[in-house]
Amino acid sequence: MNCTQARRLIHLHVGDDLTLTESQILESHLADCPACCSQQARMLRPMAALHALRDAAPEPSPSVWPSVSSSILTQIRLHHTTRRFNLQVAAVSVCSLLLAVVTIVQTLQSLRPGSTDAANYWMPTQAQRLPGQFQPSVRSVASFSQNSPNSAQLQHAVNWPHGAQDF
Amino acid sequence: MIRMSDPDSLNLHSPAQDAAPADNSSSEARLVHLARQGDHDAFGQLVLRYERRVVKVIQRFIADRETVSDLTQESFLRAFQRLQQFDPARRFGPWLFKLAVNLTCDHLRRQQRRGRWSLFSSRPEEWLTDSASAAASRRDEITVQVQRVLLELPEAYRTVLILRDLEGFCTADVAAITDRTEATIRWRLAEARKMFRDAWERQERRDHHSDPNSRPAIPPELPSAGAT
Repeated sequence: MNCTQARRLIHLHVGDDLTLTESQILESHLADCPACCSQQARMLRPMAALHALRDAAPEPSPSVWPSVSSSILTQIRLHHTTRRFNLQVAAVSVCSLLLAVVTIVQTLQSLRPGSTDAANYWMPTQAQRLPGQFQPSVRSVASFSQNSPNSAQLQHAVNWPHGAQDF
Repeated sequence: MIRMSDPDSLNLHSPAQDAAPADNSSSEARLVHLARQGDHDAFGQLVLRYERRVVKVIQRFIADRETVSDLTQESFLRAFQRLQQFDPARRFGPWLFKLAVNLTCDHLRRQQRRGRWSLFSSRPEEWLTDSASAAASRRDEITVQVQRVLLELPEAYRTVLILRDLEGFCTADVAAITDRTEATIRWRLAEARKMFRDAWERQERRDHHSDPNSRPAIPPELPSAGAT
């Protein structure tokens, strides 16, 4: 063992942190090395200061358990409050969902090409049109006009480019 | 036994009041097992068993009593919240001290960040107590000097030194508390003691130059068995 290795072990030796074998090797080195012995002697005062405080009794303080217990109970109650099942919210949510589904289904059915209300969705009223914005073809409108009760309105829509002069 | 599943039946009494005389046969593992199942009183017994030691460890880092008390409570609260993460195959003590030391180091880091921009910073004299006895005042002197020197060490080394040399934890426990290997702790411990010695000697030289009579009386003997 050289002095560099020994000095690292000295710092552990002063705190009794070496194995028996390490201690024996170090002590045999220290027996022949005055420089390392003086290094070890330098450690005595600081280590004595540390160890003097080791066994000092802690300052008396009141138990923290009442406060800890209170906090734990608060957390538990909060946990139970937030996890409670709210039937009213669930019922309102289900009703809203059903209403939304029914509305969507009805809307899709009315938008189907064979539907009688299709023309109302496909053809905007005259007041909603803007000049040059929409140019319906005769063929597409005629395909809807066969079963439509509003054939006069559809016919007007066919002639709409002329009717647009009203604007 | 009070279960957490029924919070309305809980009250705030000390578990020691119910179980006084304390059931010495109840092992720590059993208490931890019960606490993990939600037994409020079992956790209370663990708190009562460890609180003095936790307070003592935190006091090594922080002087202010209120802060020490707050951090102690926070440590136990966090332990309770994380009981399900605790590995029952391991010991409860090091796990609890790990939480406490981590919280304390986090607090010190936050304080340090704030301290850079504050007008006043804490001094080691805060460790002084009000005791008037000669022995206490001599110990206070050493305490102040040791704390002053400890503050000069980097946090990782200071923590190891405090846990091993001031609190007397074995190297394996220090490794468990700091979440490092035992070899790392041994290396850090050797370095920390060397740093402490150097800082201690610098401090002594400074004190000696300013006032030759200001040197605290330190017991000359080394309590460790390793001393020659």
